[in-house]
Amino acid sequence: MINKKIVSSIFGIILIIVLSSCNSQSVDNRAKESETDIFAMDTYMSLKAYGENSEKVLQKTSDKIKDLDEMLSVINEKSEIFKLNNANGEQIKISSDTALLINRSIEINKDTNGAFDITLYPITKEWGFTTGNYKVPTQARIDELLKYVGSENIILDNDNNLVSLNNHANIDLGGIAKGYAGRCAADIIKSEGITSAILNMGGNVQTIGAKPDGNNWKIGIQDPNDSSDIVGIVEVADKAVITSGGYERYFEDENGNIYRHIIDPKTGYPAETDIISVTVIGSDGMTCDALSTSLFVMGIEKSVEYIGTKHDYDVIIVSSDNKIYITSGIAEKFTVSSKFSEYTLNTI
Amino acid sequence: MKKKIICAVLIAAVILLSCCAILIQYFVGGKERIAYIYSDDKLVKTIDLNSVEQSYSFVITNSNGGSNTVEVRRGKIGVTQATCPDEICEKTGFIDSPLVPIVCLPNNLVIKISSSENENIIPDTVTR
Repeated sequence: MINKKIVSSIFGIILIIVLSSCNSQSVDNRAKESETDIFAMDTYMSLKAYGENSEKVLQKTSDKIKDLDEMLSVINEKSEIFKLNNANGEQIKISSDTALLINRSIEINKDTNGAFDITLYPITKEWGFTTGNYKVPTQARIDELLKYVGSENIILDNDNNLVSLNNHANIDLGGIAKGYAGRCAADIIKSEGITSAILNMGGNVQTIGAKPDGNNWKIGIQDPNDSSDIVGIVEVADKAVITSGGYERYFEDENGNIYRHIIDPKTGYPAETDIISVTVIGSDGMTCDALSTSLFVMGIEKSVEYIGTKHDYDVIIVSSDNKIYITSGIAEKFTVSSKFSEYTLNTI
Repeated sequence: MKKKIICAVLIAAVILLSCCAILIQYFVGGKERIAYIYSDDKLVKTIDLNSVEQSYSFVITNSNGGSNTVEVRRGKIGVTQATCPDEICEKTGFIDSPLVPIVCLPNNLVIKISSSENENIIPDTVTR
């Protein structure tokens, strides 16, 4: 009798321990996970989706991203943008995607008082940020090129999807295209019935729905000084999370001066800003992408003022004087990492 | 009375052994940190970073002749020299977690880390 009790007690304990230690592995009924990595839009993208047809859907999504890349590239001779930039002012027929992007870019240019400007391309090219062949242009050269900058040089015929560029202007949609690609990708994924996916498009993050277990996605914000660390984690669902900073693409001249890739359209020089990194969170990745660059150029004071009028978007800004500014809409969903715990957190 | 003592000892032994198994799994089995190196979209090297005794480096050359010097240290990996013009792969520095991959677009090189350490605090992805 006692022996039976002993055996059953031991068996019970083993069962409890085994079950409790294996709970994380026992969920075999998870949705099927598919992942694909692609090089597109001058960056490396990692796409992950959950669901029975997720593999097929990611293929369709990749195809759309590659189509947009071919359409919007400034260096691909077959692209609409290359043709437009080399049309010597002639009208070019463009797709509805390109027309939408140009129209939205002009709107954001006006709304940000010129902080975002797709006609800055001749200057970013001169600095070598589009090719990696970096150099510091002379002031005279920058002054000359600044004459071609301005969204008033873009002439659109929206009824017929025609566009031309005046005054030797050239455009580059690189500051908004990845965000738009994320938005298009999200639309395709949702239309195919997938309710859970996460796309990292070279640091631009687009989430579709929540995680398969219903929890929010945890998005880390990269530590500007250490790519293996994070400033903190923001929890989101069905949002784009897009960051701009000058810490990834930059060069140093022979005197040790550092030149970062985000150019101030007003000066033609890398933006002198008190922002180290700015993350914009919202439903529309296209706008988040353009706004992250705009706010970086604006600096903290103007950014705080500007974002106060945009209730659809949240921001997390890391400043050069060890502060983190965060909008009230996202503050409760942000956890600062221990490394940044001494930074002053300002809710705006 | 004797049987009760045997029973208690057996139960204690089972609990102790189970705890040991869990702790071994946590501290030894769970500490994997694997670096995957892809060149021209193909996996060319897999390195267990936690088993690296001494730092070493090697060169990965892609089909276009572009090359990256990869340095492996205990627990981390980085690109120390590259033929690409933008040098973004070098500027990424050494990585020791799955947070951010090292990417060299001109040379079509990707280095990713997969780790079972601290999974509960690793985000799903990182914006940068």
